[in-house]
Amino acid sequence: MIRLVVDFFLPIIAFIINSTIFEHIKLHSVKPDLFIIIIVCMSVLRNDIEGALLGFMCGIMQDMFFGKSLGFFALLYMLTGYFCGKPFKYIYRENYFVPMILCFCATFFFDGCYFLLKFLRPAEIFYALSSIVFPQAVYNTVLILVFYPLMYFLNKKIENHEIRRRNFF
Amino acid sequence: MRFLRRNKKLILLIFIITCIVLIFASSFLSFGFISDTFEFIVIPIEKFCNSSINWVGSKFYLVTNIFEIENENIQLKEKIEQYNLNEQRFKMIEAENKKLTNLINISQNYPNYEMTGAKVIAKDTSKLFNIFIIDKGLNDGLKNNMVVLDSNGVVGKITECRNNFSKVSSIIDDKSSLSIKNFRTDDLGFAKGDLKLKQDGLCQIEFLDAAAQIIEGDEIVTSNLSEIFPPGLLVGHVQKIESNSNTITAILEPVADLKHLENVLVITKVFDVQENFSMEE
Repeated sequence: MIRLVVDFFLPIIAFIINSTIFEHIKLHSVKPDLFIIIIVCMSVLRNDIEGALLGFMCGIMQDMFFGKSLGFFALLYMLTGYFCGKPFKYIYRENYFVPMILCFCATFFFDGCYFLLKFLRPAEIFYALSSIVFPQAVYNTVLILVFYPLMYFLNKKIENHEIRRRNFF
Repeated sequence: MRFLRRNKKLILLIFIITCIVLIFASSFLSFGFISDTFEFIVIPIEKFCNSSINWVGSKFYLVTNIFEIENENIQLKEKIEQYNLNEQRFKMIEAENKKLTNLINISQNYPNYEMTGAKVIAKDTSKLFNIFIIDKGLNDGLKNNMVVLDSNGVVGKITECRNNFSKVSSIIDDKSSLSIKNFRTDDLGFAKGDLKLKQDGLCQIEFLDAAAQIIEGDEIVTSNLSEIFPPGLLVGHVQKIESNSNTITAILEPVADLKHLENVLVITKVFDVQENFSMEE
């Protein structure tokens, strides 16, 4: 139950941080995407289906305040969360390297799908991928080093809570 | 949770179908009520966050650039004296203009508009659109398609108005298109957002007439053909001209400081086409 509560409130907090504080840490008009960061962290720490759930909530938040049609970002963030949670069974959670690589790929996956669905001219897509998405992917990957320990700590708290309630596995 | 883990594929499929249905449904239904429920949580916290960050940022700037600010202060005082002198002249010219327009019986082109101030509380997190949220909405008398200004010039228009906040899409947004004219020569054209130029806060203008005469530094204002914007508002200056054989395009530098927006002004009047027609009759 506590997991669902976290899934509900984490996107709201992330949205507020993303649209206020992150506006001030831009580097050369490149802004990191906190949604992708927390989705990758949580998918790695939990599993694919819970990553998808968190992604869905994040996408709904984004759609409500900045989107033009409800459900578009929700679908993309949900698929990102689902695919990032796929290697859940095969990795050690304490390793920082896997979430970093996953975050880099997830940014490219998310933005690639986004630009493909938005406009279909190849020149513009190439420009967007090379000079908007790539710097952002690097920035996100660096920020994983800050946010992954936080998420790890949060996840540990949740799991301790669940062990006490005998609702684990 | 156990149920979730056993029926993974089914749940994912349900979510995907829900998303696709929502995307198609939102083209003819409005889901504003969902954001109305969230605005009670999100908007006050965002207001607080933004104001506190701006306060810290301004104090930091003050401490680090104190000598520059002193110089700037001296320059600004000189400018104020100049403006005071100009204001006297302006008042005389305005009075004269009123008399003359009354004489030849034409309506005033550039009337004073009533405005209210608003604060920018959140900026877009996606890459393609250039949308931000201001802290006033339907409760403060704002409506859709109202024009948003900076202290310098046009910023954009309100695209969606909810109870306590409204979305503003700026003129450098990819989807936006604005009817403009060259102030010096009255050549008509369009200002359009462009993905590449948006990164530097610029946009593109395209003139209807291939023989349009423009030079760098020309003032671009909103034209009287525009449906949403009132005529004669300053949009920007021409930065660079790129002419082909059959069209003239140029790069426009907006006068509004779109990168560092904090406070904006909203004209509390909707300039709809139908309203204008009824006024003319």
